[in-house]
Amino acid sequence: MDSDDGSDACEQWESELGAPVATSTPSFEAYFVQASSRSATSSNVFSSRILPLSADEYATAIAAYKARSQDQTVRTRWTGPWNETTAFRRYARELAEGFNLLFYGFGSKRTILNKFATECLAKKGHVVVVNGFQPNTTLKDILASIERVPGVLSHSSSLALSAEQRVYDFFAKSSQDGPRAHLYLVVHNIDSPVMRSQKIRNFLSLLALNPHVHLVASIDRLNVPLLYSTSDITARKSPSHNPGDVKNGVLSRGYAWLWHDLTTLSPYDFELTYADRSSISGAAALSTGTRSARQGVTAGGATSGGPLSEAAVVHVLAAVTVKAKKLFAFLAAKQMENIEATATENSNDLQQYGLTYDALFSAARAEFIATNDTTLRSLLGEFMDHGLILSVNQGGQGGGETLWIPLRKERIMKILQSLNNE
Amino acid sequence: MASSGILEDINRTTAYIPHQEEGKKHRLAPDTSIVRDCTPDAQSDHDSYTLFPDRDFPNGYELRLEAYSAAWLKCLTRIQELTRALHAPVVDEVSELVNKSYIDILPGLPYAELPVISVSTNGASSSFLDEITSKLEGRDDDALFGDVNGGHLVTHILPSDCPNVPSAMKTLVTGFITKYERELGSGKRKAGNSLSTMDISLLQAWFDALLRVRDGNENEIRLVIVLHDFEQFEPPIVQDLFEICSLAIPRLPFVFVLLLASSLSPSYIHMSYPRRILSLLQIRTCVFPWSIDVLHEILLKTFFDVDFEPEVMIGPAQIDFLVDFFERHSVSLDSLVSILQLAYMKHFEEPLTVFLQNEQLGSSDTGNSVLGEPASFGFLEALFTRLHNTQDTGDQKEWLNTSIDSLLSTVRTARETFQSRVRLLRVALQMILLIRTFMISEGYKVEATLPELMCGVMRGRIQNVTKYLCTMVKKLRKEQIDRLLPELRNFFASLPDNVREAEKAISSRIDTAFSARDDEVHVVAGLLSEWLLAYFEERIISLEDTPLWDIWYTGSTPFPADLLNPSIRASILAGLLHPQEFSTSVATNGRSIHNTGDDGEDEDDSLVHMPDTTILFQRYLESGKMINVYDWFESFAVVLEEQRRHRQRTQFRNLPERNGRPPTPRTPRTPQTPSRHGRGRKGSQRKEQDSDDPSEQQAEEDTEENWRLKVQARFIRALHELDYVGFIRHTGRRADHVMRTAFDAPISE
Repeated sequence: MDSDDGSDACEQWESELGAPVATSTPSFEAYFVQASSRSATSSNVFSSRILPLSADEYATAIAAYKARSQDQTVRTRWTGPWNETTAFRRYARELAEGFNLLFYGFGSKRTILNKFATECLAKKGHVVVVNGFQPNTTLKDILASIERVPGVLSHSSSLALSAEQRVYDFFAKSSQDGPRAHLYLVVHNIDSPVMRSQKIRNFLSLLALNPHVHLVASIDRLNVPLLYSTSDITARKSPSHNPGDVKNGVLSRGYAWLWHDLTTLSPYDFELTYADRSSISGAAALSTGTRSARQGVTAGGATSGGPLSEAAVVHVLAAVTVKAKKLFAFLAAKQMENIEATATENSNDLQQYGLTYDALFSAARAEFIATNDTTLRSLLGEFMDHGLILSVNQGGQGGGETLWIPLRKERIMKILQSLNNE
Repeated sequence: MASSGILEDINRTTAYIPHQEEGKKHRLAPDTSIVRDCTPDAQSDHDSYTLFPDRDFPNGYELRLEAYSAAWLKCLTRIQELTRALHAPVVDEVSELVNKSYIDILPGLPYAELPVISVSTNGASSSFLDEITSKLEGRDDDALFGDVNGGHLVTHILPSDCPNVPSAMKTLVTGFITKYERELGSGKRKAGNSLSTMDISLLQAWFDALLRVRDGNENEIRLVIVLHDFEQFEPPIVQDLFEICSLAIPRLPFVFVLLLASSLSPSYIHMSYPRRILSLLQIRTCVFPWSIDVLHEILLKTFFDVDFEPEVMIGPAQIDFLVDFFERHSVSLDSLVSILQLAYMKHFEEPLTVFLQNEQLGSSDTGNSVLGEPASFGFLEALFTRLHNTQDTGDQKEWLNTSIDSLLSTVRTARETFQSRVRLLRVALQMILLIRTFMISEGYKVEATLPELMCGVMRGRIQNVTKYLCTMVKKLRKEQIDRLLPELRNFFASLPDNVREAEKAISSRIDTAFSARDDEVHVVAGLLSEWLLAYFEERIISLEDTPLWDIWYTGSTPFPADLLNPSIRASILAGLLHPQEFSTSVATNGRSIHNTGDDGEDEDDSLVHMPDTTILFQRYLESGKMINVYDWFESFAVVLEEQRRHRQRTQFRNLPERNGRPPTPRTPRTPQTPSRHGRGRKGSQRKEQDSDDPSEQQAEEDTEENWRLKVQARFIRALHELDYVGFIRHTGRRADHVMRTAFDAPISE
């Protein structure tokens, strides 16, 4: 979806509208300007120069940042000149008039839509909230949630219907005792890869035109409009009194969207919970649904298989012999010494604090860890296999193999402490 | 609330929030969301809203909603009637072709051809399909549903049902069998000894059984298969489908109806299917005659028909938008209906529209009781100001002296004035159109288009057209006048009663001209031309000149185009580039209050106040096609560094006398917190600056390592957000480089 053609088409679409952004050059022109020259970038490689953050490190760092910026909670102007209640009621009115709502704009819309769902929609009917950004969402989950609406499961039809059709049929028909309950489907990120699957789209486009089902959805991607054809967007809900629609099979599909700008500027933290914060392409899978990009990038990086975590180190250390442990502790201690001795600002390139193989071997012999080369190699092999110790062969005379532990000094400290405590 | 816990659980994919019914059960709104039987107060608790709280009154929302529903229903019914009339010829044609299939075939064909009817539905409304289906199934309006004997059997196949041939066949076979199950009774098939559901022989057996049950003539029943959105089907699958079905004919009388969105020339099916398949088919085509004229005609017949009076007139702005939307984007009657509905919905947000019809507040009893309440005073005052806006209303509370009754009667008068105005305006427009059509048929050129005429008439700015037409009338030859005058006479004769009285003057003049047509032709033509001109000038006055026009007329209120045709890209870019436009806190974030003194710095300075994502995005825009993530990170870190220093400066300025220190960033080199590890010179310098603020110290242990971690975390977060929104493509072509996807963003000023 993220193709440049798409953005062109989109841009064109907008420029017809007289979009508020004053585009300085047309999209295609800007693209060719960019593409005509080789982009001059440095040869620095991010993942080799900067150690990836582990999940814990990320969490602590962001938590500290958030704690400070708490007083700056973003108050946005999405409601326009009116207050939130008015805006919610206006939305509800549009839903009642047979439209479905689609919210766009930068920033997480989850909180506001959840508020809309609990404070406004729940008073009008059953609400099912679908976390589309969750990569594990399946049609089954959605159906299971809808089936919790009283009566759906026991709803029987004379026809053998699939679960999707049964849900449609249930809400399309009016029951004997008064009007049928309305169902409000709140879908966060209807543009996420999982929600883009054909099955879910079929289901949603079917339900969206059901007179008693109302769809409230949010989108974040740039090129989402390409997901919907004009006939999808302009389709209209059929009037409610249309008996036997399911039977006749004339089930129109579409969305009947009304678009609303809901720029909240809120961070996408919740949506990106599943993103791999240790990788620069950690959110790509959530955004595009492909894993290939990610694999390509990590393969190009220095470390394979992600960053080393403390837990991993502890696991490996628990499994190795006492001698091996001693060797690791020794190397760690040496590395710490080196770090503290140099103490420059850039402590990211850990290789420089490593130990050459020769130095390690002689020290190991002195410490009675390994008496010969083979033993040392076999001890190191276990660690190298698990990525606890990395080695690089520096060519040239006098150069040799350098070994180091790819961990920050704080973490090495902790591990050393726990090793000493044992 | 218990549900909020569920909603905050990241591991949940879906959450169900049960309906919170207040009070009695089933107080749910029906489709129109008007609940007449429940008390207005209870209803308004969670439904009513007003955009103009200072000039609305309690209960106004409900009354307006009622007025809206009535007005919209009237308009919708009219449009649906017109649509049905438009569809009817196509529906009849399709039905005729289906009936004739397998009957009128070319003699001497080596094999039976599979009848295929391709219908171009471009622009047709969604009800078109229902109409075709019910027509084919023989479900007439008066027939009871379920009684489908005698009709054809119809099944529908959607592109999504056909990812491969087996499932397409299965959909086809089971589509017929399950739909007409009731006739044969179900439960006959047992899984073990029955044919597979994708086997066409099963359909054959079923069809034979059905024929026995129906006892009907084999030649009259067709198996009609409607393929929706035919362009979206995979051609190889449909090819196989056609081939399989063509083997089964004519024992199974298949007829395919293909619904195409594209126009018929170049024909999609001829372009995308090979000769081999096409030779199996007998293709007939039907076209839904869509053009922009259809839109014009519907608008004309809905809003400018002398026999039909919509409750609310749409204004020139709406017509312009509609025409524009149809010419540029989407041609479908559905969107026409949606646009009109939205215009109506918007119109009824104006408190005054409660007076649309007589029933709402018209009778003086309800009017007095509702408007007499103090809460309605704002509304009354607004109304009064509107009515007397020409006079000098020096006394603010003058309206208090005016009785509500008199106000209401003024409104009533205004309504009558407006309605008769519009009525006569419609007659005048029809007259213009009549003369225009006549001139065109005589071979003259008339430049004004229909929408221009409609808008011009409503704006009262159409003099150039009328003058031109009248000049043309003046120059007509005798035989032309002889043809025009009877047309004009017939037009006036066919007018409804409610306007005929008012048009007496002009119609008698035309009668005079008609009787005198044998005299000197240029005299008659001259007189006619003058009279017509005078008539148009009298009739065509801007509708906005009528008192309280905005109750019955949307005027030049712009249509909320963003609702249907949003600019998502522009909105996202604006959110990223100018967050201060959207958020009150970003705008004032440490800037307007404290930051007045020194900042004559470069553009980076403005970035200092921006959220992380904006900073990163700004750098993104400044880079080339490929971005080195490391460079990006470094440039991002520079801004954050600046941000940190800036914050320290402002904090110094705010707290000058704290600890007795001078309010400068340069502080004596006395580290406040003991460091856990040895530290380099550079690091400790930073450290000192950071630690000057005690709150800062508490919030974060701002060691250099922590700060770098934090910068990195913030970078990753912002990067991931941009990735999430789709600004980044990971090509993997160069190590740790990403590609831009947006090139059209403006470079910030």
